[in-house]
Amino acid sequence: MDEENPELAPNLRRQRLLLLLAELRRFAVIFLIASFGIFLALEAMPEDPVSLRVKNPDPARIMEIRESLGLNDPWLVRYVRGVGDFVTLDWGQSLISGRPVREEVARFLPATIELSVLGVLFGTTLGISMVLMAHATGWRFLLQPVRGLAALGLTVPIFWIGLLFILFFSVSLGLLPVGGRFDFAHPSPTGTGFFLLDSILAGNPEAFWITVRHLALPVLTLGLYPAAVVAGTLEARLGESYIQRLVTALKARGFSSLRIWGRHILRLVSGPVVTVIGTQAGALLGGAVLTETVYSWPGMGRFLVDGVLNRDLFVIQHGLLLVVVMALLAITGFDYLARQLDHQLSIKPEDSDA
Amino acid sequence: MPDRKIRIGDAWALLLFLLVLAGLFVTPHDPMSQAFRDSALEGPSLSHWLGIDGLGRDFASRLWMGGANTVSLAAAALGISLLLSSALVAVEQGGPGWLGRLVRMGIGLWVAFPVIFIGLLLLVFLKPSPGALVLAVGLGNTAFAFRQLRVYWMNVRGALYVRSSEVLGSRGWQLFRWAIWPNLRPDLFALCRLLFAISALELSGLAFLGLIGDPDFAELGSILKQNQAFLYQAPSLVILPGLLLSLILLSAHLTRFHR
Amino acid sequence: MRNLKRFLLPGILGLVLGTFLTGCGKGGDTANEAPSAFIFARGADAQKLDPADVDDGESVNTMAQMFEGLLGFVPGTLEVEPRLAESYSISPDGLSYTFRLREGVRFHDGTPLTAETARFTFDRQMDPEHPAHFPDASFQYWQNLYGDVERVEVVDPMTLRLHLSRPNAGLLSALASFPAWLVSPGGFDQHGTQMPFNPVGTGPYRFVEWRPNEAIIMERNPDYWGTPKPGFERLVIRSIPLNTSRLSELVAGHIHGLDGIQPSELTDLLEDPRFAVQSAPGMNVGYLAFNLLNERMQDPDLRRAVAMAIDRENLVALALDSYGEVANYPAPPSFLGIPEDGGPIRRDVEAAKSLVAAHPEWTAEPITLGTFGQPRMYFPDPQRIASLIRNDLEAVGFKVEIINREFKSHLHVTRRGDFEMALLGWMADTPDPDNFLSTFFHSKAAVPGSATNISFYRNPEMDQYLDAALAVAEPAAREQIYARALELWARDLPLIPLVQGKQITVLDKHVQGYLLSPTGNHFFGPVYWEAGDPEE
Repeated sequence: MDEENPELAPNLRRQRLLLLLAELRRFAVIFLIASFGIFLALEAMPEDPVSLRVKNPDPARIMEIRESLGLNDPWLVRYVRGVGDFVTLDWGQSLISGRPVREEVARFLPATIELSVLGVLFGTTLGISMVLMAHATGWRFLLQPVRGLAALGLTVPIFWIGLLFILFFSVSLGLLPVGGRFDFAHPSPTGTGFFLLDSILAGNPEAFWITVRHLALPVLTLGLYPAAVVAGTLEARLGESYIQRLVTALKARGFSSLRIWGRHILRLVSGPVVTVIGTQAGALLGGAVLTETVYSWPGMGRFLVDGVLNRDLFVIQHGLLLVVVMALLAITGFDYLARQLDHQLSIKPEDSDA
Repeated sequence: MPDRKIRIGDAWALLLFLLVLAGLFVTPHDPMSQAFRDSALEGPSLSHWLGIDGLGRDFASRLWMGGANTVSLAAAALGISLLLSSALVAVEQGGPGWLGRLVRMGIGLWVAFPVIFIGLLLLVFLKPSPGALVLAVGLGNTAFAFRQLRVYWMNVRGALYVRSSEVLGSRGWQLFRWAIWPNLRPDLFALCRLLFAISALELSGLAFLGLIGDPDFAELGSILKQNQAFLYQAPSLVILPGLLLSLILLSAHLTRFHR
Repeated sequence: MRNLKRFLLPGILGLVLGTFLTGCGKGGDTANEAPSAFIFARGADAQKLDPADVDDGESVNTMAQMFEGLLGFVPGTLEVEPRLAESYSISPDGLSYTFRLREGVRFHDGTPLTAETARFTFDRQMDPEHPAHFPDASFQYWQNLYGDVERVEVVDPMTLRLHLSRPNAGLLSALASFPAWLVSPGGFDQHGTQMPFNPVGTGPYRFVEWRPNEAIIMERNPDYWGTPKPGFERLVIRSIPLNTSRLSELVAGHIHGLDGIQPSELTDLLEDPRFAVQSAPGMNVGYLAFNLLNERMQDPDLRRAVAMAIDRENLVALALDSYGEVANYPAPPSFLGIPEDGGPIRRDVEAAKSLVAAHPEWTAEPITLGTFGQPRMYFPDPQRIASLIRNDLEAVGFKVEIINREFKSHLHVTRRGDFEMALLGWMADTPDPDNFLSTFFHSKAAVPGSATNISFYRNPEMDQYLDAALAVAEPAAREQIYARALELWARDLPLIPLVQGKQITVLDKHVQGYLLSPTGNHFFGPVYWEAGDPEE
C-alpha cells in the first residue's frame, strides 16, 4: 500500500535497500562463521575419513585419494575451496555410499521441507484458530484446551507422542500409514520432489490422497510444538489491555464478533506470532529430525545424523552448512514477514535485533 | 483460594523434583545390574514395582535413575545457558560500547544455529556422550537465553523505581540487591522454567536419536529407545519413560513460585 | 486461570489408555484380490547394487531379484544347478570349466546374453585395467572365491570357458553366489561409474527407482526367460530402520513381508492367522573378536577370562529370544569337520574372577567393546548383546565401555583394527567350512583395512592347515585337518563364537512360493499371491 504513495516512495525505498544490505551482510557473516566452524570441527575429527572409507589399506593409495580430493592442501586453500564448492553446488561424493551429495540432498530436502512447512502451517493455524475462537465466541471452556495445548508442546516429547499416535491411529485403528512418505505399490509422483505439489501438477488425485495420508501423522506430531508456542504467545498478547480496549471500541462501533477477531485483531497480532515462529525455527528443525526418525521419513535428519556418525566428510561439510543456510533463510523470511505485518516493528527496525 | 492452589502446585513440583533426583543416590535395585535375567519382562510385583525390563534389570530403578539423570543433565544444560548468557549480558551492558555491539552481533548470528546443528557439529569431533549432549543443548539455548535476559534487564533497569533508588543514592550491589533483583527474580524464574523444559526435551530427543553413546545409560530418552523393541510385549517399558518426562515437565510448568 | 492446565494430564492419560483399550488386535479387512505390488521391508538400505562390489545382505537381497549367475542354487538348497548356462562341463584335470549359455536371454536393457557380454562380469573383476574396475571398489570376493581363475575365454558366441591355475572344488558353488551374477555391459556403457546405482541384469524383476533410505522399486521383467514368471507387477523393498515400526507396518497391513524381526515379537505373530512365519537355522556365527594388534588383548589369559565370563546361553535366551543356538565353534555344526559337542569354552565365573583379580593391569582402564545399531541375522539387536556381555564381564571384575557405531562405520573400524573387543558376525556365502575358518583365521585375511580376520590372528601353522585342507578333496582327510585348526583356535582364542541366529521371514499368508535359502538371501522371483483364504 505504501508504494502507491509517491512522496514516501524514494525515502522508503532507500531505507528498504539499506535494510536489505544489512541483512545481506549479516547473512554473509553468519555463513562464513558457520562454514569456518564446520571446517574446524572437521579438522578436529579424530579419524581420517578417507582411510575409514577405503577398503584397501595401502598408505600410498590413501595418500593418492587424499590428494585427488585435495585434502593435503594448506588449510586456507581447503577452506576457501570448501566454501567455493558449496556456493557453486559442487558438493562432491559421499564417501560411504559413493553417491553425489547434491543428488542425495535434492532427494531428502524436499521431504523435510514438505514436512516442516506443513507442520508449521498446521500448528500455527491450530494455535491461532483455537485462541481466536475461544475469544470470539466468548466460550470460556474453549480456553481450557488452548492452555492445555500450550502446555502440551512444552511438556510432551515428540518421539513419545509420535509412537503413541502410531499405536493408536495406525496399529489399533488402522486408519493411517505407520511411516514413510508414499505407498510405492503405486507409481510415485515425480518432478519437484514435493509429492503434494507433484501430484497436483500431474492431476493425480490418487497419489495426492496417498501423500496426504502419509503426511497426516508426522504433520500432526510436528505441529504440536508450534501450536503450543503460538497459542501461548497469542494468549499473552490478547491479555494486554490495549487489545481489550480495542475490542470494546470495535464492539461499540457495532462490528460483529467474527469481524473483530477474525480480521482486526488477527491482523494486529499476526506480526508477533510470525516473529515468535521465526525465533523457534531452530527448535522446529530439531523437532523435524525426531519426527522423521519416528515415522521413517526419508528426510535430511536421518541423512545428516548418519553422515555425522559415519564421518562422511562431504555430507557433513555441505549438509550442515545447508542446515545453517536454511535456518537463516527461515529466520530472515519470518523477520521480513513480521515487519510487513507489524507496524511497530517496521518503524524501528534496529530494535528487532538482539 | 487461588493462593493455596498455587502453593499446592509448587509443593508438588518441589516434592517431585526431590524425589526424582533422589534416584541418583538411592534406587530399590542397581539400575545397571542385570541381576534378574531369569525373570526378564516380568510384570510388576512387590519387589519390582514396575516389573523387569528385557535385559533383567529392575525397571522402577532404571526409570528412577533415568528421571534423575534427565533432570540433572537438563539442569546442567540450563546452567550452561544461564551462566554464558548472563556473562554476555553483563559484558554487553557494562563493557565498552564496541564490545556491546560485538556481543549483540554475535548473538544475532548465534540464533541461526539450531541445537541439533550444534549437537551434530560437536559430535563430529567428540565421542557421543552425555557430556557432549549437555554442552550442545546448553550452547544451543544460550542465544535465546541472552535475548530474554537482556529484555528483562532493560525493563527492570529502566523502570521508575530503579531510577528513583539510584537518585536516592543506591549504587552497585546495593542497587542490584534491593531494587533490581526483587523485580528481576520472577522473570528469571520463568525463564529458567522454560529453558529447563526446552533443555530436557532436546536432551532426551538427542538421546533418543542414539547420540548419547552408551546404549545402557539411564536417561529417559535412551531408555525409551532401548525398550522400543518391547513395544508390543511390554508396552509399559516404552510408555512410562515418556510419561514420567511429561509429568516432570508438566509439574515444572505448573509452578508459580514467583507470584 | 493457569490451574486449568490440570486438564492436560487426564488428556494424556486418556490417550494412553485409549491406545490400550482399543488393543493391538486390529480387525483389518484382508483384501482377497491380489495386490499389484509385493512390498517387503527390512532394517537397512542396500549400499550398492553392483554384484561384484558389495558385502552386505541388504544389497544382495535386492540384487537377488534382478540378477542371475551362470549357475544358481536350487531354491531352498545349496545344490548347484545351471541357470544362465544351459549346461556346463569340467575338464578331467579340473582346470577348465566350460559353460554353454542359454539362447534367447536378454538383459533388461536389451543386450543379448552371449559369451562376449557374459565375460564382462569376470573381466572387470579380474583385470585392474578394465574401465569398469572402479578404483573405489574393493572386489574383495574375487580374491576370496575366484582367485584361482586365471583366464576367461570366449570359445564361440554362446560358449564361455574359465581357465584355472589349480583345481578348486569350491568353484561351482562360488559361481552360483552373488559376486558372479552377470551384469550387463550395456549398463556400464550407459551409466559409467554410476552403474552400481543403476543395476541391469537378467532376473525376474527389473530396476525402476532407488529412493535411498526409503525404498527400492522394481517391476516385472516381461521378457523373463525362466519359469515361473514373476508374480507381481511391482516389487518394492522398503527400508524401515526401527524394528517396531517395521512390525507395525506389517500388523497394520501396509507391507506383505519383513525380516530382521526381534524374535520375541514372533509369539504374537505366530498366533495371528494373517501371517506365516518361516524360520530355519542360518549359516552364520555371531562372535566377539579380540584385536590382537592391541597390546592388552595380546594376553591369552585375558581372552580366556573373557570367554569364561560370558554367559552365552543367556545371550541366546535374552538377545535372540531363543531363536538360535549357542555357537560352540567358529562355524555352524552342520559344516564339515565341525563337531556337534559343546565345544572347548566352558563358563567359569570363579576362575575368571581370580584371573581378573590377579591382573590389575587389565582393569586399569575400561576395555572398549564395539557394537552397532542395525539388526543382523546373528544379532537381532547387537546393542543388547553388548549390554549383556558388559554385565557378564563386570560381574567378574572387568570394566567395559560400549562404543556404539553405525554398522558401516563399525565395519570400517573393525577392518582397520581400531578397537579392543568388537562384536561382529559372518554369514556364509558357500557351504564350505573354509568360508568361515579362512575368513576368521587365515593371515591373508588379516590385512588392516580389508580384514575379515578382524582379530588379526597370524599364525603360520594355522595358515598351513587351512591351505592344506583346501588342497585335499577327501572329506575325512579334510575333517582331520580342520580338527587341528580348531585345536589351534581353542588354544589361542582370537575370537569367541557367541551365537548362531535363525533366519526368520514373516510373510502375509496369501504370499506363496517363498522358500528360505540356506544362504539367508531372499529370492522373490517365484513368489506369487494366492487369492482366497489359505486357511481353508
